[in-house]
Amino acid sequence: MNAWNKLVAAAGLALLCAAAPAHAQTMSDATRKLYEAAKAEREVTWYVSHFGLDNATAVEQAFYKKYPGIKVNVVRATAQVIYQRLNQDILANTQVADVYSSTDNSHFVRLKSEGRLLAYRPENADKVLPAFQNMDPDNQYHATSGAIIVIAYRTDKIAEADAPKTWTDLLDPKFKGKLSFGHPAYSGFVGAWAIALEKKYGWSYFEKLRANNPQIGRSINDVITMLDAGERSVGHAGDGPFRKKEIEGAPYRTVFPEDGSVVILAGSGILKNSKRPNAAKLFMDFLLDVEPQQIRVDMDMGMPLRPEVKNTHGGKMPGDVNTIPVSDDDLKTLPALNDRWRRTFGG
Amino acid sequence: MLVALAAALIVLVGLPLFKLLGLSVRGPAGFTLEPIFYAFGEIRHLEALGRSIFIGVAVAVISTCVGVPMAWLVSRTNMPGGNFVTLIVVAIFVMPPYLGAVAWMLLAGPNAGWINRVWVFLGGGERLLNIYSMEGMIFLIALYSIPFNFIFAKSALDVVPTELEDAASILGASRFVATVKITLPMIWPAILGGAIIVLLESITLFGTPALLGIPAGITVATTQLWQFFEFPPRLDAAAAYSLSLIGVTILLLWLQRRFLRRKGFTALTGKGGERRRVDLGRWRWPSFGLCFAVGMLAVFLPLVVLLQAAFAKAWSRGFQLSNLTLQNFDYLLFKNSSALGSIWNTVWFSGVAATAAVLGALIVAYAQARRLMPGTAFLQFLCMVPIAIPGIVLAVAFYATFAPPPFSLYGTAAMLILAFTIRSLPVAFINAAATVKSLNPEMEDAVRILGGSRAVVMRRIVVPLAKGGLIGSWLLVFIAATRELSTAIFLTGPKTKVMSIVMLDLSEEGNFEVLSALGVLLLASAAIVVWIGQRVAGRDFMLRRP
Repeated sequence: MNAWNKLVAAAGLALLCAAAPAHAQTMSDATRKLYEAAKAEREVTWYVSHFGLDNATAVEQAFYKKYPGIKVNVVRATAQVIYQRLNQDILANTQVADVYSSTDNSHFVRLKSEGRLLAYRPENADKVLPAFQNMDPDNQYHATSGAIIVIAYRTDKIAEADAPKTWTDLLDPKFKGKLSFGHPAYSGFVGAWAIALEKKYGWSYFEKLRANNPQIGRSINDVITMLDAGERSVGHAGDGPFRKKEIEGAPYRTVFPEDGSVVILAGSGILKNSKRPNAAKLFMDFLLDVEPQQIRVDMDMGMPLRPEVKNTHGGKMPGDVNTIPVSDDDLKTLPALNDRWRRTFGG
Repeated sequence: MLVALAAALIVLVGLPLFKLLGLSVRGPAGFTLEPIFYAFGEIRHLEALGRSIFIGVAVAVISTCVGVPMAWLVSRTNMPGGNFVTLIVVAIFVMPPYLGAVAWMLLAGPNAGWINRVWVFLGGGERLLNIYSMEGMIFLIALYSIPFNFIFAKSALDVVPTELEDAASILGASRFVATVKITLPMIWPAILGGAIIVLLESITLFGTPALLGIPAGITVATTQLWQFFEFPPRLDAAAAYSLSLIGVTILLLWLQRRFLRRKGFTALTGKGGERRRVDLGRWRWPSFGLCFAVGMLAVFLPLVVLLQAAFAKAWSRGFQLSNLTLQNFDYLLFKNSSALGSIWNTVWFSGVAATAAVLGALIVAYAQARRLMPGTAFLQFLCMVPIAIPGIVLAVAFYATFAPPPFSLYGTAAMLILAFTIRSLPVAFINAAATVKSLNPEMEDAVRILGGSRAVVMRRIVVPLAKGGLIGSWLLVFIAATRELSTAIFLTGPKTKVMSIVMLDLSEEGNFEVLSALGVLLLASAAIVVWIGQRVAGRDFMLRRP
């Protein structure tokens, strides 16, 4: 063996040594084991409401790229509709969903008390920002997304002087026929928002709102559609998707209301009866990885849970704004609130 | 073979109905009326039911007042473009009502809808139309119900001879009086039949009320039924509530029978039967204009806005070159995992269901006509019962029966195919019975005398002779299945989504551009099937009825 060959061999060895830890960084032993086991399961079904369909589809594709051979079946609907579907599955004694993600945390409280969730702590659970850690002390569900609900309006239809600064401003008759909201019996975001406002101002807030003849869609994203179309000009929205349009040049403005935004931590959990536990765990890990959080920021300007991902374009984090706190116990009153909502608004 | 078919019918039709009854009166502690009290004990729930019935009656009246005159114009007058008008009706039938509703949201949204924008632009001041309203819903449902009235009335008008009208004319009646007093009464059963089908279909429609009613705060029976499935799910209350819809259906069918029993409506006398067309004179073209206007509202305008939105980055930005994009189709075909699958699912579920329904109905109809076994009347009854079960109720019953073990069909293709099959049975059976009636048994007897079995008779005589009628019936059932939303809504799983469900999901996100693109794909695939069908079965495959 001559010197040259020795050099090549040494270089090769060095490269190998350098590459090995780099590879280990992307995939730990535990993850590799999960991946191998998950390959046999081939797929995982994900019921999701805390991402929009585009966002959820992009996450699905990123997962497949990272873990070839494991397909994610995305079933996306608003929180209450997807929960209804899950309950339908449970009632029918069938197992469809492996991972469940919802914007309404009372779902997790209920599922946990019924013993339907699998305790699992993703290995990267400690890597998310402290505010998002340990959503459930028993590790049956974890925060995987978050949002701030704000006031949204069109600057070409509402003069800046007239712009609402608080939720109560929306009761002003000048906004009659201009308001748009989602529906608490469909959207988890809207449910939490309605509970927060009821807590703060009582039900009379909604009765007064009724007088302004708001348009009520289903998803909170319906409001953006209505504003896009010029059908309505003021409403509530998740901070990210709306601000994204504002930055892209739409005549929109985001208002963090002075009387408090509503912050939502949305979680995910693994169903205990899942027949694909390894794929489910692998996917759960993935939700807390950097990639989906980056996708979320890129697509919807959502709030990133990982410190590595920067919340660009002046996005706010929960600590930055006034909030109206909503507890899990508050959320349990949602079915009663929906009933009341329908009495007030119809639909 | 026949016995197996009978058993299948009993399981598929009888069992779900039985389950529905059981659910509504049985609690954890045995017999209870609680579900019934819960379902009907709330004013809001009753109002929803009342609203549905109001919508149903209004729709039936309006669509009859449009569909029947259209049928008369095409069948009995010298109005130009009769074939074209027939084509319009076929096109209206192919357009799923929820897709029409989406198009009309873009056309007549109160502030941003195209019609209102044009109106305001022309100086009309306040908005002209608001589709998110009771009137909006009635208008839309009526618009897409016209084919039912048209088909029923036209098939009857086609065989009413002119002699009776001539007799009236000889006695001094004007053309108008002769038509109203002679022709119309002759086709009463057909008009009534069409109106009742329309009434039932409107009461049980889910898509249009979900798309237009929820934003307007208007709940109807079907959206109320959906609410019973919200958390905490009340399957028992849903079952009890849906019984009222079956009740309405049975009441209507009973009234129809009572009404028709008293009179004779024989048109096919076998004598003469010359049919001359009424000369409309200077009303020829205005009449065509009216028919065309219906097509404009139901097909052409919606198609324009759907195409615009399908190729637009944002539909509200309008017709600009810079707004054009293919990304909606790109997203559907290559990025979204459920859209392409749903197109395929829709086609093959509907295809299998249509085949099963047509063949099953043919066998039952044949067995009954040739008296091959005792109890065929009961089989006929089972084939026709689904006509009294609204789609959404069928879904509830199917779900309650076949989702849990031992069947465990939830999330499988079989669940949807079976439901679509059952839903199609009545139409398939009516067609099959008529087809079988037209066959002379002597030909079959010849085969039997020469030693052929019943199976050979079926294969060599019945199917070849009845082919045209069967293909027409298959297409009719197939198209109806591709539009099905209310049945599918409770029965689809993640891998068995059909296009109507994907569209409903997209509408929930307000993603109208992608939704429109999917709608365009649905219409394109339906148009291809109809085109092939017309090649094979003749242009009037939908309109040829017994």
